[in-house]
Amino acid sequence: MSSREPTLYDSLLNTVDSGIVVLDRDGRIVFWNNWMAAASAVSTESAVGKLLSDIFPRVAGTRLSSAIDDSLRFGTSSILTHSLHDAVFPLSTSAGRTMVHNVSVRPVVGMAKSCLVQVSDVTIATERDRVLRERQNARYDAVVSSAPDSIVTLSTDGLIQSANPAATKQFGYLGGELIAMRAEVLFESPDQWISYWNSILAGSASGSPVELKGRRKDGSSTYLEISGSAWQSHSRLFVTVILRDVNARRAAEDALRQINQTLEQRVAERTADRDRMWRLSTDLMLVMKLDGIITAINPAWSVFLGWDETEIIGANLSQFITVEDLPKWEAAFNDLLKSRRPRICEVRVRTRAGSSRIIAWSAVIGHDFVQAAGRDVTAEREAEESLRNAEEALRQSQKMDAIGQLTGGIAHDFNNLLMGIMGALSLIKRRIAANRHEDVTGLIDAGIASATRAAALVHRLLAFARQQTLDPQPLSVNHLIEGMMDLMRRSLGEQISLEGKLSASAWPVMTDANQLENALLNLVINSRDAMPAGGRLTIETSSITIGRSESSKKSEVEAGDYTVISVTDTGSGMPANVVAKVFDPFFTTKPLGQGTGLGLSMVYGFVKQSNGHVQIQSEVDKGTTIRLLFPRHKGEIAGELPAASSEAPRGAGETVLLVEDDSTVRKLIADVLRDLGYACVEAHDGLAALPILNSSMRLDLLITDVGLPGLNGRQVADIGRQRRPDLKVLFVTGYAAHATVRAGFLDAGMDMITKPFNLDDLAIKIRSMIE
Amino acid sequence: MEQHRSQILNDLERDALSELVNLGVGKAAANLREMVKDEVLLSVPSVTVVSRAEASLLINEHETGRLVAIHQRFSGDLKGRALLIFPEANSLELVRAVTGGDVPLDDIVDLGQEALSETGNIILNGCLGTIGNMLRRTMQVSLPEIMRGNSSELLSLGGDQGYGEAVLFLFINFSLRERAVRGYIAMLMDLPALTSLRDLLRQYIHRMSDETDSIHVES
Repeated sequence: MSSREPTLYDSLLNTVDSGIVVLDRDGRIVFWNNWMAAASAVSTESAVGKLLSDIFPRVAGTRLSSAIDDSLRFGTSSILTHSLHDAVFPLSTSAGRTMVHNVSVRPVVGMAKSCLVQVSDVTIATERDRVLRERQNARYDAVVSSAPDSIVTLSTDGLIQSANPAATKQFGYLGGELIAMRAEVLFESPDQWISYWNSILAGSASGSPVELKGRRKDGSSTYLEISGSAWQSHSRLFVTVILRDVNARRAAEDALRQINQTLEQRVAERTADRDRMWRLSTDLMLVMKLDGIITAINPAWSVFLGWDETEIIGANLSQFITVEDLPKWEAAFNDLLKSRRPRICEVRVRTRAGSSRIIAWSAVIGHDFVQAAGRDVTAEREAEESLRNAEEALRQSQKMDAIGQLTGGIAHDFNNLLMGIMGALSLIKRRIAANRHEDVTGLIDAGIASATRAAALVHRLLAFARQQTLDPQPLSVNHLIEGMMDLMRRSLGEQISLEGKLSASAWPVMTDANQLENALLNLVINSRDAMPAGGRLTIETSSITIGRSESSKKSEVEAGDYTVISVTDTGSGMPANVVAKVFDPFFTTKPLGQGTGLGLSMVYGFVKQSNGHVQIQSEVDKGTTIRLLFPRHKGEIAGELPAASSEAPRGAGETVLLVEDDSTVRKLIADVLRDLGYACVEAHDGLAALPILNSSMRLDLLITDVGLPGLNGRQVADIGRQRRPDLKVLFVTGYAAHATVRAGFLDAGMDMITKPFNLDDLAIKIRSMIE
Repeated sequence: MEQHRSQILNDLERDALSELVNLGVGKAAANLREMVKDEVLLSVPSVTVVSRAEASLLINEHETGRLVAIHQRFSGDLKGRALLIFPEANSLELVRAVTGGDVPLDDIVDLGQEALSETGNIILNGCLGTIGNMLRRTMQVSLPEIMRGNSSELLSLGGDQGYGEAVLFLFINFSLRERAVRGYIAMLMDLPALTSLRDLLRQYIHRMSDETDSIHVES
């Protein structure tokens, strides 16, 4: 071909935009155009004269070679498309990419036994198709692949053409396994499916989904809701069916049906449950009408209270509540009826045996009935009571401990006072014997002063030791401290100086005077013990107002007005780790046996009970300050007793019967009475007094010691009142215990005076009683 | 006329043609097998000669839906048109079988045109080539063209009544990759072409009986 001049046809064939190869009857290449040379990189010169399989060895034995063979032998034409052949020839585009191409093989018309192989480049077209297809598939996949419902596309012959992942999963098939299967395999009853399928094909299916029973690969069934619609692609008709798993919905419907069927049974079971609780409960349960008439009770009533059902049904609940708690119950019940909100009330309920139990009731009110459940809290309350008693006893023992601490100093002091009295009496006796009457009055005054101080001291001790529960009263701390200064000074000894810095503007507080004294004594004794070598103790009062911002910083102390009592010593002080523990019960720095370790914890508890606060500051070798803060009491302090008149009131001849076993005391009182202008009849015990009481003698007043041999004072008074109901009685007692029970001991027209007493006080008391 | 046409070929001639066609599809099956790397079976159970209208009725007896056809023209000593016809729904199966089955539906719809025409091309070439070869006649066979429509539309192609007076009608069964597809081969020829086919068949039978006399006596 190269040897001759190119013809027009050569030029044309080298110009066309497709590959052209002509083969002779033996399959040898006789023409190879430039397009082929460029695409295959095999030049025309080297191609001509060769077999195709010489140039492309892999062509041998393929469809191409048989197509060429057929064409040469039988005149047939063949196409080899890229859709079924990846690459017939190894060809490249001008840009160097792999060329996608179609090949046709035809007999050459007019040339005996020769064959035309024509190659066309479809790279761009297939690429465009692929991009379009991928774009379309991506959209389709995004919707269909991720759909939770099965989506199956069928050709019109009922074969599955595509199935999304949900479909293979739902029906238990492997990916691709469903393709080309008949859709009937997906259904329990093919007839139902076929009738629906026909309605879709006929375009008569209604838009609403149909429920069918599906069948999985493993034979199990599943409820499906299916909806299908037909669509066209390339003039071909397809049907896409969506199969929704409605098992959950069916299960819910079944469950609902089941629930309805078993409701009655479950109600019965639940009722039985409730009934068991009603029967087995250890709580008292009842139903009553709004007027308190009981209509139902549980067996706990007979088990725990002994009441029989017949005794209670129809009765009013208030009949079973102890008389003393009845007002409390009625108030709570009325409150329940009025507020219609649940109420809790604790009252004693009588047992059939005659005792009572404390029951904590909680009651709710309905339209016509009240339901109440009551828990027996007797044991709890008893435990609380015994705990309270134990605390009380502990407080008392703590007080005795403090007394013990004081005793040493006081005994010494008391001896000094006795010394003063005895000394004065001895001197008086001596002066009278020597007829030196002029100096006697001074000595008598000195003796009385000593005796008065001794009496005050003893009185204070007795008052302190008296057993009392907390009895908060409005009081002035200054007044209280002033009254204690003497006692404190004595208990501190001579090495320690006591200083009071009492602010006149200190506010009144609301607290228990006795406990406050106790607390202060505890603090004073602690300070004393911290200053074995002496020092200075300062008791100070002041008023402070704690603002909100300060309060939030020291979170413990609420904002408000406080009265502060500070006790400051110059003693050994305490390190921080000790300070942290001083309020703990049984913590003590004292040697074993010298302290209970309860002092400060009692102080702390008492101040807290009074809504106050305790603050402590201490530095080793510098001293300790303890501050007690009490909330300000905004109110009046009860008026103080009027001061005794300077002169004792005198009698006007009234007759007094005096019963006293101690002859010295009896003689002393009798003398005083006569001095004051009363007639006095004496008796040394109760028996001796009876004839006088039973006589018709005028008696305006009976003065009797409480502690008498034989008949005691109270019995004497009772006997006296049998004949003389209006007889005034004044008891004389030396026992603090008697004083504490005054209220229960004394009837109208009776009074009491505690030994030792000032004679002027006695005169005032007698006068007020007789008048 | 009907009678006449159906009797153009006697039983022996029809059997011979059937044998030729089966040889041809056998060759086509070998080609397909080569291409899809899997077992391919093609068989032609019967051969009849009918009119176009009868051919159309025969197809309609079996098919309700639309049809797809691969069309090739042949010229030379024998002239006519060859049509390989499938139900459209079946055609998709055929393509899926040929392409291997993992191709998504949309791709099959797109690629189906080309794949189907190549597949049909192979089958028709097999038939026509083998017939021409066995009858020792030369033909030129055109490239395939794909068409869709119902049976009468497909069989009245081009409208030139000259071809298609008689239809050599063959049923063809495909079996590949466990899928069975049914189809039809219709060769539309004019009477002279059919007559020359009959003459060629007779020569073929004559040659065959000379070569395998004993076998024919026995059968």
